[in-house]
Amino acid sequence: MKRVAICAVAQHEIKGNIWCKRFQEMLMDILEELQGETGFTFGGETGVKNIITCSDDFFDARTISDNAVNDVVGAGNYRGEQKMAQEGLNGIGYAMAVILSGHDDVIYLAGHCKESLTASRNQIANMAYDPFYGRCLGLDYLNTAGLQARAYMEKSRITQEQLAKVVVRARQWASRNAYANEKTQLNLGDVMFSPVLCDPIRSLHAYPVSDGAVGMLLASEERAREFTDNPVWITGFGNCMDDYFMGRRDLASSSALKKAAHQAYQMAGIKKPQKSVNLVEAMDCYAYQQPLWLEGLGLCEEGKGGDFIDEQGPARYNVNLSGGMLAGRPLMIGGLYGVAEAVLQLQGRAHEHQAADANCAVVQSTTGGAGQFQTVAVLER
Amino acid sequence: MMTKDKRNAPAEELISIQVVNAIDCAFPTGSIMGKWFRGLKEKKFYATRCPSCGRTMTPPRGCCALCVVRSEEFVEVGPKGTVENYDIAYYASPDPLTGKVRSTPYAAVFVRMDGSDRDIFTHAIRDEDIPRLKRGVRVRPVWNEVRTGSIEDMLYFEIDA
Ligand SMILES: [Zn+2]
Repeated sequence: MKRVAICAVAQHEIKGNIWCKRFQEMLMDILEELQGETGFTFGGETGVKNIITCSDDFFDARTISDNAVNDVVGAGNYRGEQKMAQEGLNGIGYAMAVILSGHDDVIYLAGHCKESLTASRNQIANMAYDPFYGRCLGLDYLNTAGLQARAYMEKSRITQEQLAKVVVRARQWASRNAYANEKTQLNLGDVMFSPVLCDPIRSLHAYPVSDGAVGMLLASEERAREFTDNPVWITGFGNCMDDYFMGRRDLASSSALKKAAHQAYQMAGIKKPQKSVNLVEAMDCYAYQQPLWLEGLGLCEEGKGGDFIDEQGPARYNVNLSGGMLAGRPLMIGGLYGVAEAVLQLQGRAHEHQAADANCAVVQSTTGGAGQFQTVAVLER
Repeated sequence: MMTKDKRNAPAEELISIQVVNAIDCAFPTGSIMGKWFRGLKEKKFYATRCPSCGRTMTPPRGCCALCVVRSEEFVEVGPKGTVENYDIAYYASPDPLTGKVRSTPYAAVFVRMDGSDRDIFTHAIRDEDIPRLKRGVRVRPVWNEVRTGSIEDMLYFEIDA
């Protein structure tokens, strides 16, 4: 099968409130960085003709929010543009489909999200529910995660101390990542006795409010070497949707993630992920999600998340050496940041947080309450 | 599955629910739009000029969409300009949050500001001037006495005669 390359990635430094820039200005920085690294242009026969953007209408407070960034992604001068109105990792799948179908051979992909634009991101998440039932009950991504945390922690026997270990480790790795948002170091007690947000989720179990932008250049196998000597290949991709209605789901297990992972592994020819995968970027918006998603990815045995943490499972698989979502990444592009991180790791360019000998990375992302929608990509060098 | 008979039965609305959606937002204006709004406070119009093609953009944009290059050089344009196009609205949509409807007719004008290049600025025209609106007419801005750095710092254009 033909392969699709990620030639280069650019990440904007993530902060809780990037008050000095509009998201357009953040995307301009990303574009210039990528053009500087790869030399790609928008002109002539070989220039980029199709662009994919990832953003959220509600965070941007306007409908069809990609229209507002057409100039800074190079689309404003009569080029094709499509918006991925889903978590940004799906933009990778879409770009891959565009290239594998032969529709085009180079794609510029960029995403942005400023959670700080709203008084509370929970207001945005509340808007994800229907206007006459879920929304009126006050459902949002935090309190639905609370429901899932209780169900999952009971099933996989996860203690508050184990969750604290996940958070402490995330902050340790974040301190080595130039792009990470929250680098304050913590001890177990800080996490275990932090204020309760939504029982059993405590404030330090939740990812901090984050602003960011991220971009990358993708190309067909034939053209990748025009832009890099060090391409990373997308070898697998899958996504899967679970039920919108919480009451119909098994919250303690992630069937959607298992299916998405199965699709991605099958496409990549991976039969035993525990043997093949040696780097993971998981979208752990809340601490309990890291072991839950690792169960879904087939890296941790079902129902054994607690033991997995104690037995250094996350270290064994190089999980979230960036600090992950727990160190702060914006919703909607957390997975796209995960791709950027995995690419740098596979290229051997992750500097202070470089993993030894990683050659097969899995990136997972989610949107919707309690991981309703799940996406998985496999990247290899 | 519904039988064909049931699909063909007259529709009956059971209950309709009124909902007003609102999210509290705060938008930093950054270094480009920020300069524009600061300018309005001082009765000035700041455009940016593209370093590649030389065109101006009013309000300013930090990137020329035609050349896809950063454009952060400011030039002052206006305050007078020439009407290039206009539209008179006789039906106003209600404000989605307050339900208030502005008085009609009102007009939007496309104005080429003096000193600008291939660039159009859109604002309102004084209601009393609507009957005299035509392409090519000269206009000048009318400023709000209290200016806070918002688009309402300028009330509207009026015909400059
Ligand atoms: Zn230009």
